[in-house]
Amino acid sequence: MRKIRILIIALLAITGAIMLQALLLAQAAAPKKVPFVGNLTADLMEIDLNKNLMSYDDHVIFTSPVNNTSITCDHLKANAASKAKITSVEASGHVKFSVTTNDKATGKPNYHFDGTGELVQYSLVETTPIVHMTKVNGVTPRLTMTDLATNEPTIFTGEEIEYNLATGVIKGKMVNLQNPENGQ
Amino acid sequence: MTGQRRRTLAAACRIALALIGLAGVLLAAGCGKRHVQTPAPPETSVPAESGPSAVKVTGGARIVIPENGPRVWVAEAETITASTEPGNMKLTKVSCQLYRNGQETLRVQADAGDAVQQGKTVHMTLTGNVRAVEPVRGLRLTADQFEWASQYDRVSAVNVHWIGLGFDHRADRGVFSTDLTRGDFSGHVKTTPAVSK
Repeated sequence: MRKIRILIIALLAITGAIMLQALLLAQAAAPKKVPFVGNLTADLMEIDLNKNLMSYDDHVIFTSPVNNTSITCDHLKANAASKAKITSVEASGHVKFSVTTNDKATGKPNYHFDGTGELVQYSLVETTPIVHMTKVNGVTPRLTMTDLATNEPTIFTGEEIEYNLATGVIKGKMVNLQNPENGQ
Repeated sequence: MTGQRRRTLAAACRIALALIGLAGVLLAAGCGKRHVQTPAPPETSVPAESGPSAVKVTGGARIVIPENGPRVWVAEAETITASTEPGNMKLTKVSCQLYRNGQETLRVQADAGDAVQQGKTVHMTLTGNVRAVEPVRGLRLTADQFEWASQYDRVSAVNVHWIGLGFDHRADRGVFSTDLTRGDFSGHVKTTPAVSK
């Protein structure tokens, strides 16, 4: 009788542990959204909670300590999917942005990015910040990446440029790469 | 007619005119569909500073508009001064509920306010420490000035501070739906994360 009781308790404990692990795995697999950390200033703003939309116009400045980000532009739309979570921002009109990434091992700044263009999307889904720049109205986006260890800049221009700040992968369409140091 | 008799007659005429005036004021204040409920017997007086053209109710008063049918506006105030202009009211330490289609959409408090009631519509302006709370999502708004007209789904505010869903928005001016879910901010707009309390 005692053995059966111990067996039941053991089975319950194993089942509980499996369920807890499954719950933790599901939580880890679920898309994570980055909480809004930063400031947004502008001359005009519109909110519509029913559309999860916050839209800013004229002299828009977005700054965030996350990756030391700053964006200035004429218009900015922030998609706030849930409470205090911004999934993406879309900046348009005379966009200038700068981002500094940190080395994962040392935590020290390793690359600095300066970008200009007419349309820049900054996606924060699944805690993976991705900068996507698109050629609009004949204005070609330009991304300057500076290695802070050597201060060596590399300039990317193209019809579309996408940079994943977490992985460091740059994708693009019709991208030209220029290194002013060696003229390539 | 002797001088004494003339003076007596003149005094009687003045009293009669004052009584007629007071009756007119009370009639004007009571016209329309406004329904004033007072929790305690209020003190009614003709304030000296406003002359004989206003009736002041002190000690707390409650107004429900309209008296019958879906509610539009319910207000409680420390004092209500009703002028001879039908439906015009001045309120102090006001606390009110705004309704849209019979549903409560906003609770607002302020130091002072002016309200004009015409039939079932109300136009209200509030000043000083305006605080509004939307009862469903708990959206909050503070402002220096606040204006609302019941016939429109719109409130406007000056020096506005909107807090909700983890965000904190400030601006010089704002125009909002009465449930605060939609809004246009202008002048020195600033968004920051809301400080959780």
